[in-house]
Amino acid sequence: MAGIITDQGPLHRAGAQSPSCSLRVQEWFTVTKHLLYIAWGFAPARTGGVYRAVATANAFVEAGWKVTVLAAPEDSYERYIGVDMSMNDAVDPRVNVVRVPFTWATQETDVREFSRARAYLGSRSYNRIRSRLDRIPFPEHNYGQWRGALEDAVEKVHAEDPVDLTIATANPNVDFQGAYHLNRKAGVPFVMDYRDGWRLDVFDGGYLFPEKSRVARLEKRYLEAAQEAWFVNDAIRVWHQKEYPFAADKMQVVMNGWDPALFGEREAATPPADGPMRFGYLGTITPKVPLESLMKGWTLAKEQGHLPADATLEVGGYLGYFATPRGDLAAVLDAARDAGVTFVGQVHKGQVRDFYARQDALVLALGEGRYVTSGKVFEYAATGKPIISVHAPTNDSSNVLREYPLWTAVPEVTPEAIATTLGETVTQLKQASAEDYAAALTFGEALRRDAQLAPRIDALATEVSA
Amino acid sequence: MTTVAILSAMELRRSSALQTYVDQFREAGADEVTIITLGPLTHWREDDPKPLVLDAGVAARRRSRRPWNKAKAERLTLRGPRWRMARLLKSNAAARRIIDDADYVYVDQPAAVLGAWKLAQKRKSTPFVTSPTRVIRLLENQ
Repeated sequence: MAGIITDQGPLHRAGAQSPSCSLRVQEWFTVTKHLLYIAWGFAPARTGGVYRAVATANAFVEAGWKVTVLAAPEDSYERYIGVDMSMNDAVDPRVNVVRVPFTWATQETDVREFSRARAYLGSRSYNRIRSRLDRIPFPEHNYGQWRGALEDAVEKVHAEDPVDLTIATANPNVDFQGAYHLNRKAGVPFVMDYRDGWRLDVFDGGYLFPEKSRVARLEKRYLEAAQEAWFVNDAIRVWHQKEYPFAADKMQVVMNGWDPALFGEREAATPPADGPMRFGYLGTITPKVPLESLMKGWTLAKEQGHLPADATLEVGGYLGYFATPRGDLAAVLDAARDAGVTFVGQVHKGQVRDFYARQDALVLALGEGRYVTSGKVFEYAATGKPIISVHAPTNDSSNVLREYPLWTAVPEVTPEAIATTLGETVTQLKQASAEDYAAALTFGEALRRDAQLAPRIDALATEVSA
Repeated sequence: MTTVAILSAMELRRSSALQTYVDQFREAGADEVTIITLGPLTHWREDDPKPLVLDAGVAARRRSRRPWNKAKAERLTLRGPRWRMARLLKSNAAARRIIDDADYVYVDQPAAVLGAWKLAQKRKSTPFVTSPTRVIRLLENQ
């Protein structure tokens, strides 16, 4: 509102010097609205939420908005969490990305930059101490220290070109603070885009922070001031509606989806040709992923004859959340190597299509939790290939795939159940017809990301203009 | 000629994760990849570089009974892998030569950090990096 109604900023920006009142009114309606999008992780970061961030910024630009993104520097991604440079190509060139300085001592990857304390204390002890210090400005591990730089950047952007709407995507939740800060300073409305919960543990449904904590007080304050809050699934929204009933009407579901640019022209998959059956898993492999059960289940399926002896499982993605790969997860993958499991490491955005193309079926291994919807489930559905879900049946991804024609799911995440279900997938692979594959492709069409974002963009454009 | 040295604290395991990095570094433009490991590893491929093993006798020692509390005590004291690796690197001339010849050093596993940090203090111009992606980017950008 600030830019349009109270200070008439956009009118000024459009160079409105016309003596004609009608022309001024016309300009008022045609002026480009300015969106400030706050996302610590933006292209070329390789984290999962980046796909949503890039797609949202692009969608607003496409809808005629001027978009400025505040993100961490590329160098930070490279040092701390890893990069996928091909993600840069996915960003609309009209999006203006402003990098806000960020240092993350505990995730520094250049040993020369390590302090003596870190070298001698070891990473675990050093991280524990450092993390406490970092939470002083903002109650969030690792990212809290970004608050000061972010608030300065938000003010600078608004001073140079008044902002009409801010969207902050979390996590990290410090992004919300940037949007809230501008709201307090200049009255700019803002949207909180939750990809996860802040107080809600999406894996077990419990509280990460108690009701009277600093986090809870902050979240309440933010939700009171926000224009809207977006959630990736209904389960998370309902939880927040119960927790913050005063903001229930502001809460919307904006699901994830697959990005059309990732797949180009889609074609129905075909039943597998002769030769080894190829299964694939693509995604960040975190400790929440039931990797060990999957590897044991895969090995067991081979031993029990549920899977052909020459079947392969290709695993792609990062080992852990950060740039330094986790050795324990690598060891689990290593142990299953003799059973036909290969680990191919990071798969760049530009290579994702080829990765899916060479698989006969896809393995969707996810952490437990009815609040968890992986972004990957939409990509998997877009391929139109058989999907085997290796996660608890209560996981929200089951709701996305329930009507998918080529779907099998484990009843429980145990090696025995995984082995049996892999056998069912093999049967499905042998029996599925071309019609089944065509139906799977059609099903995926409804899960495009642009279909999720368009209604909210239209609604916000109307609200901001009003 | 660009040389990448892998400094790994792995021991008594199979080497497939390192093999992935060897392939990726070569693909990104490394002419030579050299490897230093704390203990012996298994399943090397024919075209993998022969690793320099700092503590070749660890397998024989481990054959003896090792209750969990002994292993834990080792980790928490100066006998743990971090300190053992640092000591062995300091006393091994061949290892130091490999590091001196390297353009980039990839430090694999947190247990290798202390030894790498001590070496890095005297070699400020050589990047010692704990992220394989970052090594790849350095190789691609050179």
